[in-house]
Amino acid sequence: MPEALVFPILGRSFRAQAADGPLKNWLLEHWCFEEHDAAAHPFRIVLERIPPPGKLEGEPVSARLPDVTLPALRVGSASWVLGDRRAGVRLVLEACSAGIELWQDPPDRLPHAALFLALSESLRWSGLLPLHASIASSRSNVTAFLGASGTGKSTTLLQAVRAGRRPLAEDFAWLDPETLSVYGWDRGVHLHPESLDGPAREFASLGWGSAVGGKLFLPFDRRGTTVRQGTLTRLVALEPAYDAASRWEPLPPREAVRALWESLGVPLSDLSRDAAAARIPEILTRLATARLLLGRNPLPL
Amino acid sequence: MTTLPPTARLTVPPELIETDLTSELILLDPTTQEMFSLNDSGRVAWLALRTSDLAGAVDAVVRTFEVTHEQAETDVRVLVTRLLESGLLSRSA
Repeated sequence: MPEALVFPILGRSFRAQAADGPLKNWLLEHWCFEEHDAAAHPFRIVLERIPPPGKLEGEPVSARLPDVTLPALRVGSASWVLGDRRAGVRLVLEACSAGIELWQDPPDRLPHAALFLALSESLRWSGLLPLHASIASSRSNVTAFLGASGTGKSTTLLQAVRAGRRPLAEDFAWLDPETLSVYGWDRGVHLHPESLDGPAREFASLGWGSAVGGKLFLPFDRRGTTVRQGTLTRLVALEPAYDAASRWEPLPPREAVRALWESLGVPLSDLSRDAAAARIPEILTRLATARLLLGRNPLPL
Repeated sequence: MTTLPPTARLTVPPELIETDLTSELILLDPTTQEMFSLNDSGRVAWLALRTSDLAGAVDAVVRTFEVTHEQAETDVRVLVTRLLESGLLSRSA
């Protein structure tokens, strides 16, 4: 029987029973960031492996990640089944804990997306907010660049680094709405190969490697000193405007609400959804906001 | 403009995201992406509609701002009409 894998996730305790092989490697790669310094939190997450269940029952619901929609069933108000009978997870949320049961058949059919979603929902439930953004840090600012997939978050981050900022996240971070602390969840920059023929062509010589899904990957440590966490000070909504000049503009409050809401993703739980919505005003009143038009000339970073 | 009776009560869709920035209140329906920004008087009317009927919202605007009852009723009815059309409000059964 493999040993349990135990490490903190942003101060929350995490224990995976019998995590070995691909599961252990995946958990360490995507969820174990020893460099994060987060305050201890009483929330507990326990992951257990179980045999594939005979039958899955519940109310069909939508379970979405930026790149994938999963088959999902809601079972009561705080329990979901994600995936299918061959590979999936059952998530049960309680007041101060989350239980995740994982099954997979054959053993190498790890339900990555379902597991990612279950762990993400657990962290949401514990009070954190996921932030789909690239984030750059300077001495005076920690800026999150928001935008839908393909808007230019990664390229903007590369340009910000070239302008002297330090990368904190390329695509995904966790935000503590109490403290506005952000924790980077990426280990480098991913780009579609065609980006190096287009908006990111000036970065084509940086020594990109291959990554899963046909993307290119550049580890952060090749782009200068990386920071892994900071206190968010500014939200910037990115907007492509290829026929115009790149420039800063004020961001109307309504557009700031939309940009922030969209960057927070879609929670499974109604309670988490309401909690995220309730956090938006207090977050926006504490942060500077702006729009950055991504035009034909270099960005004014 | 809506011809709802003063006693009409209105319902907010459960999925609506409501962001009160104090100087401005923003409504976002994440399903339809419909968005609405309410100014000071619209915000007062909206907040009143959460707990009272149309007449109550008009009274709240009159109490808060130096406007006549007639002007307040016109403004509230215009607002409610637009919110109903946008699906950001519906009539209570």
